[in-house]
Amino acid sequence: MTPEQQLRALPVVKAPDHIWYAIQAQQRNPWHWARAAAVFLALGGSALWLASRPAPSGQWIETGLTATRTIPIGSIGHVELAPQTRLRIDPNSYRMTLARGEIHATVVAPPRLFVIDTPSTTVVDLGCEYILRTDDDGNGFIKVIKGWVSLEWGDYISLVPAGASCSTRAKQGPGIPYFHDVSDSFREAVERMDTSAILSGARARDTLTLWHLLQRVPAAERPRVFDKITKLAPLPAMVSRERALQLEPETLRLWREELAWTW
Amino acid sequence: MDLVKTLLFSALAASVCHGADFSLTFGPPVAAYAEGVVVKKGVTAAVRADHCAAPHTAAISGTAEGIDKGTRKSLPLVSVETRPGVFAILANWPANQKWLLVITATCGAASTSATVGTDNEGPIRETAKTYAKKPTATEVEADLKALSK
Repeated sequence: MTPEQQLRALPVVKAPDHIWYAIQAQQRNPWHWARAAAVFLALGGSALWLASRPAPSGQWIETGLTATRTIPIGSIGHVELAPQTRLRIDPNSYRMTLARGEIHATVVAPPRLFVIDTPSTTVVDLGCEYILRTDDDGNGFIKVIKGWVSLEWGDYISLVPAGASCSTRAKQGPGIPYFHDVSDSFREAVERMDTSAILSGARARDTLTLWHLLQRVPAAERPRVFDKITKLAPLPAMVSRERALQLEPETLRLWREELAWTW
Repeated sequence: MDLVKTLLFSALAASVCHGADFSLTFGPPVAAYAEGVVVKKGVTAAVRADHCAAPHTAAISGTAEGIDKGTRKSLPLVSVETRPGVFAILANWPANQKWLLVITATCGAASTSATVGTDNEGPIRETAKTYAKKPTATEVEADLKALSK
């Protein structure tokens, strides 16, 4: 006889009535729900606190393989840490160091107040929201969602407005920025600094890329970058070809201010 | 023949002058940036008073029109002049939505109006419309409807 057949062969016995009262009493007991709710709230609260507690200044913060964490930046915004991120907060200023991983920063503050150092650039916030990544080799990438940022490294400065991205290289600093809507071939040309390919693929909006390129190419190549920009956007009266080719700072600033209306 | 040339030149000059009327140009937040000017809130767009003989006298005012949690909202526009004739528009409305900026600008006795949609990245330039006078409520609703499509 199988176990199932043995089970079926057992006589049916009516359960004693008091067992039902006991079960109903258990179901009616509100303290069970209260205890369950208390445990749930305690667990939820702990998780929330762990995820958003103020970070200890001056110490390195690391997230695990799957953990994320949100850190308030005083009253000016917050930074979300992706998994496997290592970040340090300067105890004396709105300054952080991203050694590895990815952060999503949202900041509403006066320009230049919030700064993040990485192995390949210093990201200076100019009132915005952005995603910043750094790998173990010190190479990085920034994608700006709102406002704009300045990437600074020695003499190199790259200005990255909303809708644009920029790669950074360890010990070389920031590359040149480009808008998210460029073609794949244009993006690849920017990554390998292929001047001819960049010039041939540039649209009016890509004067952002060309204005930066002008300052990175050898002096002999500057005229053709200059000529391409002026083909895409008329040269403002206050900008002279000669001074622009000499990379005179005030001329470049005035030109950028004019070109920015097309970015 | 000289008379024809003169007439043609006069017509061309008139059209150029007409094209140089006081107008507004919209740009991304980066266009309003100026060294040393502190803007405390997030900038969502830049506006420039073009063809204004005295840019330091230019002024703008207006509203941001949009829908927040299903309710139609009209918020007064907050702006900061960062350079003569250049204004940073500060976003005082919920993020991640399209809003319509309705702007009236003056330069001396001249005035002009315009509407433009904005999103996270700044003004959506292809939605910009110029009005000779301040747009009516009906025109604003039509522009807002077109923006939400």
